[in-house]
Amino acid sequence: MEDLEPFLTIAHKLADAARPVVRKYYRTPVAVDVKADDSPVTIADREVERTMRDILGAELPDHGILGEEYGRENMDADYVWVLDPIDGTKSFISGKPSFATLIALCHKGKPVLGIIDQAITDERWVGVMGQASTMNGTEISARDCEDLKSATFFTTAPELFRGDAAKAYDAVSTKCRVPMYGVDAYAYGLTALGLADTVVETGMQAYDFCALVPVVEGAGGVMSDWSGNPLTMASAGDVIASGDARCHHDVLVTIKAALA
Amino acid sequence: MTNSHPFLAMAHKLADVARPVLQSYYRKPVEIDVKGDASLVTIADREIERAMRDMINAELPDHGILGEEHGSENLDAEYVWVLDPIDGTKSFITGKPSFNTLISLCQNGKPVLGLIDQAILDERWIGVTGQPTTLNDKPINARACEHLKDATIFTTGPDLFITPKAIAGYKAAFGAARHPIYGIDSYGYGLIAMGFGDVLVESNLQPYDFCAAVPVIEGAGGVITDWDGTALTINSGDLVIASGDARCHGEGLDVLRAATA
Repeated sequence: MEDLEPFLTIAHKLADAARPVVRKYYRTPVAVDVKADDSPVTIADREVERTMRDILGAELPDHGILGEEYGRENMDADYVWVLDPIDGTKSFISGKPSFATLIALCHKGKPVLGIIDQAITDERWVGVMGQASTMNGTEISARDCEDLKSATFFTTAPELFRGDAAKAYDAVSTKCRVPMYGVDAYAYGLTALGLADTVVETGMQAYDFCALVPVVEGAGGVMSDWSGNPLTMASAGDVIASGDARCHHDVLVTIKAALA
Repeated sequence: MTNSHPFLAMAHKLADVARPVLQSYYRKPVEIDVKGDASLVTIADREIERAMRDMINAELPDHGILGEEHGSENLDAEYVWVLDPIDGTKSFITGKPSFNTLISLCQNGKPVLGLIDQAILDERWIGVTGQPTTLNDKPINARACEHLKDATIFTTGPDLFITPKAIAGYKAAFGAARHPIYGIDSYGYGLIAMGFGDVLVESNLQPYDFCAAVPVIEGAGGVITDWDGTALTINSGDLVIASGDARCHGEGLDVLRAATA
């Protein structure tokens, strides 16, 4: 693998380009009956992704791109950028600043660089494989948490766990010390900061989780799917992130028992 | 344009006292096993409420006070201040800026002035009975949402609905709405007052959790009541529903009543 520093510079450039667009559409009035295609979040989503794709096309034409809005290009490349212009669209449209712009770079499918950018609170988490994660340039680390019963657990909404996944959610939310809800990708940032202990989600897409992996792991945490496998671009969207490997193991065991 | 009320300046002063304390304690590392009285949030909560009480006692000694941390004094007074230095303590502890300082003034038990202050995002909502609600001095309005089936609905967490009645109401209201959004704390009242959400349903609340929201929601054109549709006072019970549109509020009440009958 090449030196990641030049790619990190590009990643910052992408996040910098996203911010003014996100801010322009944030908290613009939206009628209840607006159609999805006309909603400010959809317009912002597309404009941000177009902006980021144009930069990548100009600077790194050999790299592939997987984005939420405009699909896939050149997926056979060694390096593929995975983009979610606005993760947490419902939060965005409700004027709640827990949405984020997610930017990841995968090398042969494995996330090696990730940015979580919150344009309104001016917070940028950066993770690079093998390096300490940072938030606004300051090194951060996850905290100790021995087991799930001591843990502050985050997820977005109970409704998102359907079918068997609901059993996993019930088991984890019942066993944890404090359940917390509704913060989208921001929860992974809080875990990397040592303010929360575990996040469990389901139904995620590659562009929802790839950027989170280097951030959480570079803070000393662990991320995997619900079977304990490392996450790649090809992973199914059942995700666990924990600040402490012992807690992570406890969550895996709890989910396995619930699904058995 | 700004609001006016004889005691609005005092409400601002109280919120101004809270802000630097909250900013200094926000996202400070917390040991995971520290509980109860020793926790950082409890220290911050008490420090702020003590400072607020001292100001009220010094400047408005005839007024009563109801606070989360230090109890009640002089509740028979015409004017009673209702204080929650940190509403959303779990959010505060996890570094999530949806917690708020809630300050309200009740006159003969009815909330007539309410202030919701978010110290990290620098957002202050002010409601005064009979006046348009403002956010950082700009007038704001709730939006039209005729039906619950089209509504974005807020609450803090499903686990906070504890009694059978509360659980039944939560499930029915969330089942009938369009977009469920969690983790909202009292920030949800501010978002509804700005037209970015439609309904908020909570249970297990105390007067200091909801009194400040009443003038904020009503001054933005919304409605806030208990689950029976009764106006909220300093003596109301723990079940609250707030809506930006009275028609949606009526549907919400119907759903809650049917589920909890």
